[in-house]
Parts: sequence; C-alpha cells; structure tokens
Amino acid sequence: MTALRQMRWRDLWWLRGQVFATALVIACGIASFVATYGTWQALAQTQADYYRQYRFADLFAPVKRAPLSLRNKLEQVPGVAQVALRVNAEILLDDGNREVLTSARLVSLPPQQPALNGLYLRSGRWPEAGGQNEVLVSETFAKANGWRPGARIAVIMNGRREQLQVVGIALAPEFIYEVGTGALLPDAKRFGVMWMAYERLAPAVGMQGAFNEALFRLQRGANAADVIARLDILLAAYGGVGAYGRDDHPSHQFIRDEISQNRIHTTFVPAIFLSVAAFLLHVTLSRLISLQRGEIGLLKAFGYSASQIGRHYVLLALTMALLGTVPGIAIGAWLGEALTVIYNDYYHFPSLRYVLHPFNVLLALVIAGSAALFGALLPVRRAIALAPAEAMQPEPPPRFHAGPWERVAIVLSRTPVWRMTVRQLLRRRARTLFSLLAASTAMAILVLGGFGFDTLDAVMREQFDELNREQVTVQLREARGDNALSAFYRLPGVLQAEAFRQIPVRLQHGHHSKRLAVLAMSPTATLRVWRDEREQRLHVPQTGISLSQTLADQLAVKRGDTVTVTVLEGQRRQRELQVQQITEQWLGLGAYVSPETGQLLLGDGGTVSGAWLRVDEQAWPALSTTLRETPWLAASVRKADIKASMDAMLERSVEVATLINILFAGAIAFGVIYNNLRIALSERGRELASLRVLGFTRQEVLQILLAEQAVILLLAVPLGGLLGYGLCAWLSERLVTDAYRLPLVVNADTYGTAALVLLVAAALSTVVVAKRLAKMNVVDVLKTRE
Amino acid sequence: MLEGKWRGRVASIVAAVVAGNGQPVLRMQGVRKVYQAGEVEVVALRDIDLECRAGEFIVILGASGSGKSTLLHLLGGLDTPSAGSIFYLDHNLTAATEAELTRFRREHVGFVFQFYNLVPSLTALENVALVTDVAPSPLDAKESLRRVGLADRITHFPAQLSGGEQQRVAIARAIAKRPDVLLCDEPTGALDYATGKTVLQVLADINRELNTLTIVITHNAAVAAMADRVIRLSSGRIVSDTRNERRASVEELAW
Repeated sequence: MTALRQMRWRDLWWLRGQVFATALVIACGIASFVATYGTWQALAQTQADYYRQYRFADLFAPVKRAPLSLRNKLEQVPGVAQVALRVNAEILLDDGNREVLTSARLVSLPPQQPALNGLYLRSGRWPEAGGQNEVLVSETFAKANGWRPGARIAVIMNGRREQLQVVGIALAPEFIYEVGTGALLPDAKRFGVMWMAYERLAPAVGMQGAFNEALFRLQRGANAADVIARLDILLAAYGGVGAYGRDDHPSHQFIRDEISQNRIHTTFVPAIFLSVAAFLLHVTLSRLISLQRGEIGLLKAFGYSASQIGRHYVLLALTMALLGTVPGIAIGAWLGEALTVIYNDYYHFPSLRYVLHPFNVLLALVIAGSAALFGALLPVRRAIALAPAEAMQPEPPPRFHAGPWERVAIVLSRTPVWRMTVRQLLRRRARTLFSLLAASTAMAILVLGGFGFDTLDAVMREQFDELNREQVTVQLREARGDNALSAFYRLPGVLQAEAFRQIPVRLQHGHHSKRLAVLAMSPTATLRVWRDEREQRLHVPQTGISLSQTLADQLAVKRGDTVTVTVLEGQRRQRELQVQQITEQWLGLGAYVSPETGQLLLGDGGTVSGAWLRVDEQAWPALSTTLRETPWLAASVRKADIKASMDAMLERSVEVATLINILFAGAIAFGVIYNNLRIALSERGRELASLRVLGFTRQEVLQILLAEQAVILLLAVPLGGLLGYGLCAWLSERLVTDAYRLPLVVNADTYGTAALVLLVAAALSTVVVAKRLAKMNVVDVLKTRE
Repeated sequence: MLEGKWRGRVASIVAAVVAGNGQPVLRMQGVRKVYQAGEVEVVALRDIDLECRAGEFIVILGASGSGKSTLLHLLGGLDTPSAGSIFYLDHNLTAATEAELTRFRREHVGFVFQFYNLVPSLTALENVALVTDVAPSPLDAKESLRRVGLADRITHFPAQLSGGEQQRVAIARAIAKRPDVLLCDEPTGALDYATGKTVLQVLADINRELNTLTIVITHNAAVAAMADRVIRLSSGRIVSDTRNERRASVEELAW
C-alpha cells in the first residue's frame, strides 16, 4: 500500500492546479455551510434559551388604563397560567444639543425581576423606587448615545422636564429587535427602551394604581385564540386594543423570519457549491484515470485487487475534498463570527455567540466527503472495471463521426477552427451542459446578490421619494378632534399639515385574520400617496377599504371581497367593508379608509391621531425644540433621519454580503473554467502541438483552446442572467414578511457587474493555463504516442 | 516582413531548379545540439554541416538515438541548435525569434509524422483546410487530397480512416501550403508494408510534380534506394553522404 500512497501524493502534486480549483469550490461550499448552519443554530438556540430563561410572555394585551385590582380576574381566565401587569410610556429626550428627535419607551419594573418578560442586567444595579428617577437603559440605546451607569438623561415626561439617572444597562427578550414607532429598522440613536420602577413611573405618567399592558403566560395546551377572545371582552371596558400572541409581536416576528430565512441558506447555497465540486472531481478523476490506464493495468497485472485500486482513487478524491474542507471550516468559522457581529447590530441578545460545534465539523466532513464520493463514483467504477490486458493498451482516440449533431456543427461553424470547437462541445455534451450550468449558476448567484441591493434601493426610493412626501410625522398622545389640525399649523415652520387617524382593528376574512392599525386619511391627501401595481395613483375610497397587496394576500381577499373590521378601542364596533383597492407598497402592511369611514368605525372619539407635515427646512431647529416640549405630542419622526439610518445600516450589511458573494461566485467560475481548460489542455495537447508545428502561433493555439470556454461563458452570461432573474422572482415571491416585500427589480449594471466578475474569473484561469501552454514542449508531445 | 523577400527568392530558386541548377534551400554549419537530461548532458548532434537543395529527395538513415529526429526538428524550425547556424536560403534561422520560426513553418515547411497527428474533430478536408486557411498561396484543399488519392474520402473523420489513409491526409495537409521543404519523420513507421509503399509513392510523386525538397528520416534502409541522396547518421554525426546513381521506383523497393 505504501507504493500506492506515494503514487497518490505524486498525483495530487501533479494535479495541483485542479486540486486547488476543486478545493477552492469545496472550501466555499463548506465555509458557507459552516457559517450559515452555525449562525442559524446560534440564533435559534440563543432565542429559545433567552425566551425560556427570561420568561418571554405568550400573550400581550395593551389597554388604555386599567386598575391593578383586575389582576385576579385576569388570572382566572381559563388557559392563563401567569399574569404580569406594567406601564409603558413613550417619552422624548430633551437634550438641547441633539440634531435628531430621540424617543424612548419607558417600561415599569417591580422591585425585583418581573414574573414575565424578565431583564438581563448587563451592568449596574436594579433601579429603586426611592430618591431619584433611576432607570435601566437598553444596551444598544446606551451604546449609541454614550451612556453609562451614572449618566443623567434629560427627558420630557407627560409634559414635564425630568432628569433620569442611569443605574444599569439591560437587555430583554421582548426587545431583541428594537424598533420605534414609524421606523422600519432599528436605529439606536433615535429610539430605545428604558426601565423604571413602577412606583416612580406610574405617578409620573398618571397611571398610579393602574396598568396599560398585561402580559400572560399560557398553560400548556391552552388555545391562544380562545384566551385572546376572552381577554378582549374583559379588557374592552379599559380601552383594550386587542390582545395578541408572539406571532404578532414585532421583535419576535423579525427574529422568527430571520431564523427561517437562515434555514434556507444553510442548505441552498452549500448544495450549489458541492454539486459543482462533485462535477469538478468527476472530470478531473475521469481524465486522470484515462491517463493512468497503463498504470492501472500494470497494478492489476501485479496482483493488486480491484478494491485496492478503487480505494486508491476514492482516497485520492477524499484527500482533494479534505484539502478544501479544512480551510473551508476555518473560513466558515471566521465568516460565522463576522455574520454574528452583523446580527448583533440588528438583534440584541445577552450573548449571541458563534460556536463551532464539533458535531458541525463532523457534519461538514461528511457532506464534503459525500460530494467527493458522488463525483468519484463513475470514474472509479470505470477504473475498477478495466481488464488488465485492455488497460495496458493505449486508450482508443476520441471518435468523431458524422452523428446526428454533425448538421448542427456544420450550420454553426464555417471555419475548421470553429468546427473543432463546436464538435468538441457537442461530443462532450454532458460536460458542456454541466459546465454551462455551473457557470450560469455563478452568474445567477451574482445577479441574486446584486438584486438584494437593487430591490432595497427601489424600495427606499419608492417609499421615501414617491409615497412618503412629508418631512416629519407627528403622533398625538391622545386622539383629538378636527381642530388639532390648526394646532399643527401653529408649530414653527409648518407649511402644510395633513391629519390621519390610526384605528387599531382586527381584519377578518374567512379564517384569516390580522391585527393592525387602519389609517383613516383624506382621499385628497398629497403628503402620502398610494399606487396600484401599474403605478397609477390611487385615492383612498370614500366608502370601503383599501388594502396593501401583502395584507390582501394574507387575508386571501381580492378587490370586491368584503372584510370584517373589528375596532379594538372605544365602542369596539364591527363593520363589514368592501375592499375597493389593492395598493402596491413594499414596506409594511397597510389598510386605508376615508375619514368618513373612519368615523363610521369609531362612532365617537377623536378624528386625528397624528399628522404628516411639510416644513421649512430653515425652521427645523426651532420646530425640533417645540416638538420635544409639546406635551400633547407622543412621538415625532423626521423622514430624512430614518432614511439616512436605513441607508447606513443596509449599506454595511450589503457591502459584506456583496463581497462574499463575488468571492464565492468567482470561485465557482474560476474553478469550472480553469478545470475545463486544464482538462482540454491534457486531452488535446497533441492536437494543439501539431497545430504549432503546422505554423499556428501560440496565440492562435491559445484561442483554439479558449474558444470552447468562451462559448460556454458567452452562453452562461444570458442563461445565468435569466436563471438569476428567475431566482430573484422566486425570492421576491417567497421573502414576504409583514415588514417588507421585495419588488422584482434587477438593474442593468447588476447584470453587467455579474458578467464582469465571470470574465475576470475566466481571465484569471486563462492566464494560469496560458503559462502552462507556453511551457509546452511541442517536440516532446509529438514524440509520444497517444 | 520576410515574406516579400523570401517569395522573390523562391521564384528565382524555382527558375534555377528548372534550369537544372539546384541552390541550397536549407543549410547547416557546424551545428551542435546538446540536451540537458537531468544532470547529464546528452549530445544529440555534433559538428553537422549540410546543404539541402531545391527538388532533392533526401533520405536520412540512422538507428534510433542517432540524432535524426533532432536534425529534422532543427531543419523545420521546431528547435534551435546549441551551437552553429542554420540557414533557410540566406536567412539565419538560429537568429530568428519564436514568432519568426512559427511564420517560417507556417509558410515554408510541411511536416509529416509517424503518428499522423491529425485533428480528430475535423474531417479530412477540414484538416487540410486548417492549413490552406492560413497559408499565403495554398493549393486547393480538395486538389491536395486528390493528389494523395483521397478525393472520395474528404468528409471522413480520422477515426473513420485507415492508418495509411490518415497518413495520406497528413501528407495532403503538409503539401497544401506548397512548402519549400517537406520534412517526414518515419512516415511509414506505423504502417504495414503495402500501405507504407503507397505512402512512399505519394511522397515520390509530390517531390517530382511540385519539385519540393523532401527529406525523409527512417531507420528502414530499403527506403534509401528511392532517394537522390542518402545521409547516414550515427551518434549525432554524419557518417556518410552519398548520391544514388539512379532513383529506384517505389515498386522496386522491398523490405
């Protein structure tokens, strides 16, 4: 066996170029597997542990104001295991130097860990009721604003200036994803969470002896929908706006969607790479076994068994796979850590850490080994089947004859040089097809990567430049009458104000239901406009309701259908409304009615809960100060701020993703083209040498060698573009969450960049092979017989 | 570049040959070729002086390892000598660049090898067309195949032809550019007796009809009888260089 082992190492060295190309592709596949699978595990496991350890509630019931004495009744609702009551308040920070409006959610705390929705205390201590306004601040909020325990924060609470004293830094399972009202992505500079002792917070916001949010843990096997229905009846009198489960909890929704998307990545991407690697191994090993026919025959003649020879080549394939797997695991672990850093930007866990489990290493080895075995299967079978006497004969020359494809070759090519190329491609149809498929996949991966950028760009452009035309959105603490509009006009610098009313509702159609806020707004509004799928401007209908496409899909309704609208506050009316329009919008779920319909739903109560403002930019500093100091305002959002922070966030993650994408797809393209060129050089060395003798220049011979790959590449660009577009279409259909939908937008420069990456990868492999060709000794090649 | 000048020279040579005054087409002066084989130097050729004239049919005889293939490669511009000079007409091939040597082969030299070296993915006609497409004033590809007696096999691929037929395609491909010199390395080495003789007949015909300087290397001494001139090589040296009184016809050869 020692001789065979030596032979194996010699072969690996001799094939080092192809070994490298194959190992590169395997390394990419394994790296993406190790990174995504590990990250997925980390996310899923950390989330589960965090929820369990810190008692994340099963149900959430916001109310306007209810007495603490309601606890008993709540605990007696069938299915409820545990209840926690608390106060939430939105406050504005009052730091004169701030350019941006920063709001915070203050959450009340009992003297020790709450029974539900516990806190992880990163540093400092628990706030006490006596003395000052002591608070815990969420970690990201504190980091973004530079607060440590001991810091003082000036705020406006219920219209009064107050000083908060930071005593600790904390995290909570309900704020893994921390996003403020009206914002679409987390932005810790402008929104964050703080916790304060109930005894301090409740009186400060007029909630002494009361609560405005109840949290519930359910008994095992309890029916959440039943419990919600009972709670809604019970809490209606206290201004309940409808209880909801984890599935409607914004932080949980985001993290759940992210985890399930990650699950797709853990299988999809590695599978592509490993199939390409199997193909490369197959081609390389096939050629090696052709070249080593004589040696195989000789070994068999010496008495080596078929299984020893099979083992030899299988081990060769496994070694090649291992050479890619080891760095792949290392790169994967590194990548996994990098990905986790990005996730930590979005999601806040006490510790989301990427851990390379020994089991995952084993799994990676098994997967890479399987790919190698799969690739080695056919060539090794051929080696085993070779009869020794036959094996020592030279392999018969490639047989070209006028087969059914010959007409194609003649039609496609006029000159002998092109005919050589076309016939080679047609003779090795399976190899040609798979090479084409692999190169197209590389192209498709690049298009898909570019799509990520293009689609988000389109979403942002549409949302911020075309649909949202306001500069500032303000929310009232409590809904008011129509006269609120004149109050908005009295704010400094306001040029135009358009009022809206958010109505918390539950929409129902058949067995589908969704809880959200319907927006009642004027059909003639100009600061917010809606469009249909043909980009035609839509006006909110006088009667009936307008739904966004995503919402319509979730409720399984189309235009003309009727939905049941249950208002979750006030008189809690129920109305049937006809769906008049479907709007095309990419961000968020939307339902819109006219103010008249809104009135119909609400019965009484204020008609204005906020407004969109167009303002004089010059007056912004004055306006910003006024907004902070106005007690009847709950929150204000400046569009430019949101847009800037979204841009920054997306850019960071998109940049990393794009780079990885280019490297990985480039590796596939390089691997396939380089391998093909090397095989062609080996198979056709004699032919190319005779061309040199006939007086063809080195460049001409190189062109002939490259022509096949050029054809594959030229076909791969449009085919891969198409495939990529198809994948984007599939993804844009599939990646629909409540927060966003992705429009199918692929810019021309995405295709251009993808084609360019493919060309660069091809050029690199060409350079390597051209060097090889230059070293080819014409005379030596011709002296040997095939 | 060289082409214009060379073409003029060729015209004058052709004129001279017709007048019975063959001028040297290829000339070697003090040529020595040393190969580095591992750590040992192998002297393949030493002190070779040789003149080959237009229209001559030369057979170079020698045992294997005598240096005859090396000699042929040097004459055909496939290799360069370690010392000495090689001239094509009055052009020093020893001083030529790689690109110039390629051009020399492309325009003036036809090669025929023992193992044919046809392009397997091209038909007989296309193999010839490969050369006629790039040569400056080639024969018609079909005409070339007709000359070697393969007019009816032009659409066949190499795998569909016998060894003798493949070698004749190789000859047709070599002569299609109207080379000034046709270099044949063991052209009958892989062929049976009858087929070998057919191929030799084709070479003799070409030499006579196109007046191409033809150099055949072989270890088959019987072939020597059909040559104008016979050169024997041994251990890298020319040991004899004789002229035949009469060129035997191919039918007369026997081995």
